[in-house]
Amino acid sequence: MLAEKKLDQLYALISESSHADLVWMSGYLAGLAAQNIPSAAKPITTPPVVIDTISIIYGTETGNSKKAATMATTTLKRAGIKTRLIAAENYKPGLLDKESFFLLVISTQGEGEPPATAKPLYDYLHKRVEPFQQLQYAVLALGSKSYPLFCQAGIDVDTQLKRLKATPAIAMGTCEEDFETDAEWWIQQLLQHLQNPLVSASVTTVVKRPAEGKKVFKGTLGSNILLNDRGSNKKVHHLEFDLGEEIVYTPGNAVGIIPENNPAQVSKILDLLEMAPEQPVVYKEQTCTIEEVLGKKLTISHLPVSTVKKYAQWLGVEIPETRMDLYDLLRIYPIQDNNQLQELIGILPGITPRLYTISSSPAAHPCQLHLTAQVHHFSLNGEDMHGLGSAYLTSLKPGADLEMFLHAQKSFQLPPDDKDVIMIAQGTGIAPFRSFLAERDTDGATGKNWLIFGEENRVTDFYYQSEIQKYADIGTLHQVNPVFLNNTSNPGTVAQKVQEQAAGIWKWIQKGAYVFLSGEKEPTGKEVEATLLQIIADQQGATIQEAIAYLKQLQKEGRFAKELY
Amino acid sequence: MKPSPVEKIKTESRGLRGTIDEGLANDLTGAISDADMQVIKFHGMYLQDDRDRREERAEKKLERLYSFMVRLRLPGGVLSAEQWKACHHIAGQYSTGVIKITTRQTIQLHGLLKSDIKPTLQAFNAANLDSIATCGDINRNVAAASHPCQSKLHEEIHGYALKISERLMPKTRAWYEIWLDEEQLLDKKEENDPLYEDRYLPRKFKIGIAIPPNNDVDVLTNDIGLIAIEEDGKLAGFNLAIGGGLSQTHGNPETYPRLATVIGFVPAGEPTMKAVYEVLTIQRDYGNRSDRKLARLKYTVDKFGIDWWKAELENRIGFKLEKEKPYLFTARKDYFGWHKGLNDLWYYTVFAENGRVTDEGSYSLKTALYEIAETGLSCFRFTSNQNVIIADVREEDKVVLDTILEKHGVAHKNENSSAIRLNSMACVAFNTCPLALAEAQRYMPEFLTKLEPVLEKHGLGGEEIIIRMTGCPNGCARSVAAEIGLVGTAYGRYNLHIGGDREGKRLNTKFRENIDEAEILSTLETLFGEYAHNRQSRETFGDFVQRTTL
Repeated sequence: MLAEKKLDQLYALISESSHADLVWMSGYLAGLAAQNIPSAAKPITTPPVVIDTISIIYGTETGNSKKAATMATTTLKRAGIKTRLIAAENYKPGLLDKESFFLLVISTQGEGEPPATAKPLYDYLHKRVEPFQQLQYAVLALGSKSYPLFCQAGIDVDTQLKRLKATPAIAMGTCEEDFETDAEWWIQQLLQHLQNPLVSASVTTVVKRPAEGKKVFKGTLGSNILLNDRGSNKKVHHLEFDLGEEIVYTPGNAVGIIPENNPAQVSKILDLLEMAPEQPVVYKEQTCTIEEVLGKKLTISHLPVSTVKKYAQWLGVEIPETRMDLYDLLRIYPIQDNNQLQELIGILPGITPRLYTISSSPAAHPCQLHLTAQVHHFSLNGEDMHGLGSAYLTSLKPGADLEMFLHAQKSFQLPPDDKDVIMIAQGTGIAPFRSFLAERDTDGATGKNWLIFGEENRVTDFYYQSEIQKYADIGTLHQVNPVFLNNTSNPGTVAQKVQEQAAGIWKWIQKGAYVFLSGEKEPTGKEVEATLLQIIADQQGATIQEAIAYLKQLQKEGRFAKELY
Repeated sequence: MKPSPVEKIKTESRGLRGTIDEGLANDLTGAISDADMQVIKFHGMYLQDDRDRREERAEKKLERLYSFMVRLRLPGGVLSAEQWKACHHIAGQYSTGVIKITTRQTIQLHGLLKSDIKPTLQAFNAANLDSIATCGDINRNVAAASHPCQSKLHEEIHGYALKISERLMPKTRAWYEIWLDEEQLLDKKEENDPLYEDRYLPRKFKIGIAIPPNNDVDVLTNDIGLIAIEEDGKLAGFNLAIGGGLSQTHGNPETYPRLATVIGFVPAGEPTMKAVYEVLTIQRDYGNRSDRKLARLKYTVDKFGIDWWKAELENRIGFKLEKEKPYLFTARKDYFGWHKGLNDLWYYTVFAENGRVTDEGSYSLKTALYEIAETGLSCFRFTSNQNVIIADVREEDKVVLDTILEKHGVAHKNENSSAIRLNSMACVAFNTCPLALAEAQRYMPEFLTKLEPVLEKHGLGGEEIIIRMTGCPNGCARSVAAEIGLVGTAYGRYNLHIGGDREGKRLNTKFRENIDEAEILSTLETLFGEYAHNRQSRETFGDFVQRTTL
């Protein structure tokens, strides 16, 4: 037993430590005890903190730097070190202030230039003046001795980082065209360095999460990218919001946003009514301008039939039972005078919030929140409620602020780290799984991951393809089965792919895998669910009724969850 | 020395099968594995990507826009009208639509997605065409003097291209199995390959056949060059030249371009076939397999010396090489427009700038060639200068074809292009070639438009100066074997080479390094000025700068 004072110290240490810290400490102390050298206990007088996550960033032209970075990621992950692998073009240099350790693999082009994809990061380091507070780094430079400025981009970056008071963990490595051997040797040097407990102790993680998240928070749009390539029939956007504050969310959570109406449509209505935008009106017992009410509070396009009916009764006119825009309603069946406006406001339904599943991971994308939203093309008889939200969201310009609130989807959550996960997604249904994968990758979860993803066109519609490939390369994804209708030798649907993989899926389920299904309800969601039932029935020689009961049981245990819309 | 990684890939490829089958079914990527990228070359394809789209695709979190280039095996470069029609349709259906005539008398298509390869090759096969061994470490498409009006013996000499191609084909059925779903052989003994064994050649291998006095095939730039020798109106045989090859690597002084060395004469028929075959076996056995940059035949020739090579070759063929016979090259050109062959048939050589067959505005070469093919009145012959000959036309049919050539602006382009443009070549380079450091075929036309007035200014507009541009130092468009060569070093920058001769017997010399367009133009302007004033009578530009400047 320990003396009380020692015990207090131990408790204090434990209370400050993460799970990973405790694992490390238990190993460390066990090692010490086995060696029976009491004096060696010295290093833990300052509590050792294991490096939380090492960002491994690569800038590549030929793909070699990516391969070297992948080698490093795999090696460090195998050694139990948390890493995240990021292409330079996807890395926000501002994050460097939040890193404790980062590794850059960079090649050199032409006359000593960095690859085009790494240019922004390269320029950032050259322009930055303010020194880093606590950044450790390592640079692995690739180049060709055929050119006079061998590995110059790497040398430049290394020089800049030193100038900015970042600390090199080990000396920069350089590789020639046949880079594998050199890179492997250098990565081993780095690993040895990182595994030295004294080094680990000096690298501390500063990211602290607040205990409670707020209800409504603001995100500033950093980028808004159309994920589909030219020639696609789809329009799916990837939106990255920078969060001013740390928001606590988990993979599988969604956010709600309240979309705004198209300003052009608002002004058309105001013009029609010959009304000034500043005209005050009362909405929900508060006075605000008519522009604000029409723009941000009320539904004005594709009004539901019930609203059109109410309008007709109120005005005492005959209007066919159809959905209509407010503008057309006011144009064809005008109100007598603008004093009726206040009453009209009472008739129109308010704008309802739209939910979007978060596609980022708290661990992999600190201080950010990503959404994946598809622009729905809607016809007069089509679904319009989604249309407004996605049209609003995807038309936001970088720099725009957006208010959001967190919506926990409690049944759609990652299981414990050691459990296997099967993720089945159609189209934008990939969103929560991108979050899952990034989280599990960064946390070094030991459970296996399987992704089945389907869309229309392999060349243009493979959302997050390069990230998914990366996860497959570094072993985070153990199996991945993409399926497409076009530009493939094996066209098919998600349900067909699930059927094709029946034996494997059943094996995973029997070994305790968690199954998640995400995407549009019709037709994919229903088809896949039916296929899963068929697989369960076939594999067990059971009836569909029994299979339904089986799947319900899985659902109850949290082992089957779906998010269909 | 450790063998290069590619050696292992070849020997472990199970007769060039690799894991291509699995790769085709993998929808995670439009690419194939690194090892299969090497193997698929032997099937006539390169994996490429649209380099113009890299950054945009990366931002969209999509992988590079991968596609394949497929190159046909056309020994001597001949297609029937039916075959041209097939190529036209296949290009439209699966590729970028542009048919590219290469510098080695064949055609290639770009931009095939992984899922397009099989239907494409099946369609080619239906037209009796294949792409076997047109890339990779193996004997590639055999080139031969293209224009039948060059000699009465043209047909006989030209026929060697096909004979050699067939003799040097790999024995594996992999191409038929993978692409045509041919049933797999149970007894793989049929595939035993005494020539290539399981290791193939250390590097690519090219063969060309010239009929003096025109050296349109650039015969000495080949690993093996055969120069036809005519005696008493009969084909006596060939002067055998070995060790040509133009590729080099920037900054690697161990690499260099080299013209083939004539090592003797071999009689026509089987002796020629045997000699060619055994040059390959010597290269197979002695070529450098550890450093691919030093693996071409030219390095093996220089490493062991000509005397050793002659002795080793004579040992393997079982007879002595005769002394080289005298021959004379006077040109390296295509004969544009109509020419009557010695067989009384007519030939129209179409200028296809940089070999790109496509429709652009009022100049619709692709439609013109298709309409010509539809008449069925001719066949098509490709030249080593990236042009196409409308061939074997009866005199009375010329008028029909003339109408088509006029209608689509082809005749106009032929008649109104400057001499230097007609004698220009450029390789593919951006946006698909992974090796390109600078533009070539996309830039050459506008570069020439800037160069033409400079020539005019000095009264040199009619000079048939040979100018060639490549986007890298590998030399597909043979830029170092030109009077003016531009070799890409970085985007917008080139090494300027000058001083090659007009006949293809002297390489040029690097004159200025890594310069941009303005400097290229001003440097050439100065040289043109000097040439116009100080040249001796009939002295070519290449010879002039060689004498006075270099």
